[in-house]
Amino acid sequence: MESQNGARSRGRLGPGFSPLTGALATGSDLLSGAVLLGFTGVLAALGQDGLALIAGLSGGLLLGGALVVPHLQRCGLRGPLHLIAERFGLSARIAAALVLMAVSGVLLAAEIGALGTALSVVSGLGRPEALALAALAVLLAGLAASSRGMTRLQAMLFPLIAAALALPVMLPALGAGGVPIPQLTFGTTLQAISDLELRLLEKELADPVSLKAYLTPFNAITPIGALLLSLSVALGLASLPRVLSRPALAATGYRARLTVALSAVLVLLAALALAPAAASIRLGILSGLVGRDPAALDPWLLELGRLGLVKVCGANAVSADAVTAACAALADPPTVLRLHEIEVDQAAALFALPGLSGLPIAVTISIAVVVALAALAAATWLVVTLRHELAGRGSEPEDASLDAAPSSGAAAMLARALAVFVVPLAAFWASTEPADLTELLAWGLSLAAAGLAPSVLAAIWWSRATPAGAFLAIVAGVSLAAYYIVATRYFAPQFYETWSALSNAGFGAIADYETARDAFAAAADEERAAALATLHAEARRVANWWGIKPAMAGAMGAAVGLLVLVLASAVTPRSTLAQRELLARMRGGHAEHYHHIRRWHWRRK
Amino acid sequence: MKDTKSAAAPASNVPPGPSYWRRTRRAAWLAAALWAVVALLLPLVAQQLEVLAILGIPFGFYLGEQGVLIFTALLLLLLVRRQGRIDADHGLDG
Repeated sequence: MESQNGARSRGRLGPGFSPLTGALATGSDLLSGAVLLGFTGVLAALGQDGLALIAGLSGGLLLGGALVVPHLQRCGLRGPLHLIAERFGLSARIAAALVLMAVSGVLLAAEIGALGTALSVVSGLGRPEALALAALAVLLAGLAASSRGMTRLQAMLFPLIAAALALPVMLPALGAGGVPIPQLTFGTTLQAISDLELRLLEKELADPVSLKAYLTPFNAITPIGALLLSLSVALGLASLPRVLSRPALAATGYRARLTVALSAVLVLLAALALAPAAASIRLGILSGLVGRDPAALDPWLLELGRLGLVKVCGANAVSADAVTAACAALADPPTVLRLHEIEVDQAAALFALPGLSGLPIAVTISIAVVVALAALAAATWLVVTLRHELAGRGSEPEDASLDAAPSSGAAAMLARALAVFVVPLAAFWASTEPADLTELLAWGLSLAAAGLAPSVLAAIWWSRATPAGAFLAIVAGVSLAAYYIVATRYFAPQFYETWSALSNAGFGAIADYETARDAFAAAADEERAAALATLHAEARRVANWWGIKPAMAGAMGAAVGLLVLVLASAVTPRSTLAQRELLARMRGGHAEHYHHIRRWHWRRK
Repeated sequence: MKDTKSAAAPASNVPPGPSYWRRTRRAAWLAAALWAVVALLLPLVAQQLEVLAILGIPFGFYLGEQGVLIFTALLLLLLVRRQGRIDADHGLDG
């Protein structure tokens, strides 16, 4: 155990970066490549319904900063696994380590996917080659990088990320002699989108069924769904070392708290351009693409089409001829493009912005370079934090100032091997295109929220939480969330057949699913693959419990984890004296506190 | 939390004791509760407050894209100050 003045002694020997550097790095990590592409894509497509993700992002900082970070810092613990290990012992530590590996794998798949897309845009490489290159880069960087180096690098990246979001919105306004402050013109842009949506509906250039009105909330998501999504993202972020470990390593509690608060300020400043950028994409599509002759599309759009990122009339927009042929083959061939015939991939929305705003291709390439750097840095930081967390305390040079006994070189080697083992798996999974970037991010954070959040919070805030309770909570929470995500994604027909009584699907969706199921049963051998794909697509629309989407599984898993934690802690042996002393140290209690706990412990014996 | 409720606040340069934890706990959970109200609950009724446009942006949209982030940053900055005061009152340097 660390001595009582351990936290203080780190003040002299601490990791040596200022709160501002830590905050810049955390801000840059939160606005990673996958977040930049995914969030702009979702906001451009869904409008107000996409904003639940931003609430989740803010919640990760708030809950992590208020409820977890200061207490880790006080006890010289650098992350959630170290906390769980010291407070709940080996079983909970192993369970939490497995959860963290799974979470890191899913989040890495999102970052590698984003890096692959950005590399494609920069170099014109095909998807498989770009993903392989992305995985190799993350693997090498994850092996070589140190925590301190990554903090400096991500801190330096932050201004570039902020610029990549702001410039494509500010440059067109400057060019037109307007006000180059996105927030001041944002209201007008939103109004223009609403007006245009109505006009397109009147002209039958938009499908009233598939059009998601930009300014109307709870179109694509229910109010409770939005709440659960925000909570999943917030709890997930608040229990991950990628957010917690930098401030937790600060020399004093004040600096730790200031690091988190400054991160929130920086994320706010950068995100001021996020919603205006997304709205400009939406406006650009509505005003610039809808109503166009399919044969007269811009070269930048065809460039994205060649990378598989833009589809028109259901086919990749690789050339004017291909688009014309695809549109002519539709049952209802359009003379001009309608909104539902233009599909910009979620990951490509940000890259479409310069083209839609009339900016040169060099701007798109510059944004792609920044996104690639942000994704590579965030992925590397995921590997580095996973490595540190698995290795245990005192295993890294940055920990030299902690007066914990250093773990053996073998433990550090094993941790490195395990962390690096996750990267190719994540890359392989990303290559199967399991879901959109935001969906992947939400899955990863859901697993963290379900598996880690109850135990991390209870470790600090509930003295009666027991090691067995924490272990069972981790297992129960993550099992439920993982089951829900995997079953609704990969085994949707079976999931629906098992749980049809809990599904909130409407009659239309159920009828479509049943038609697909019957068609699959009756399909001849050569049609089975296509019928199976249709069956899965229809089943995914109806496979749910009470309408909860897989991205919100974290809140559900966290609730179950908490319940299991409370029930199991009530009937299992209490923590050891050493584990309870950790609590006393967190709570600012020392001698008299220990005395009190010892007496209590003794009485129970 | 039975074990935190004994003894008075100690003087500076000795361990801070249970009142330190009580005040720290209250500040942290108050911040979390306020965040939950503004970021989780307020958006549910924001549609009813659409008349309150800010910079021409409907209130619900403004809250989601910017309001929640401003509120979170302010809460965290206030918490830094508040906890700093609690630490100082109990003779800790943070």
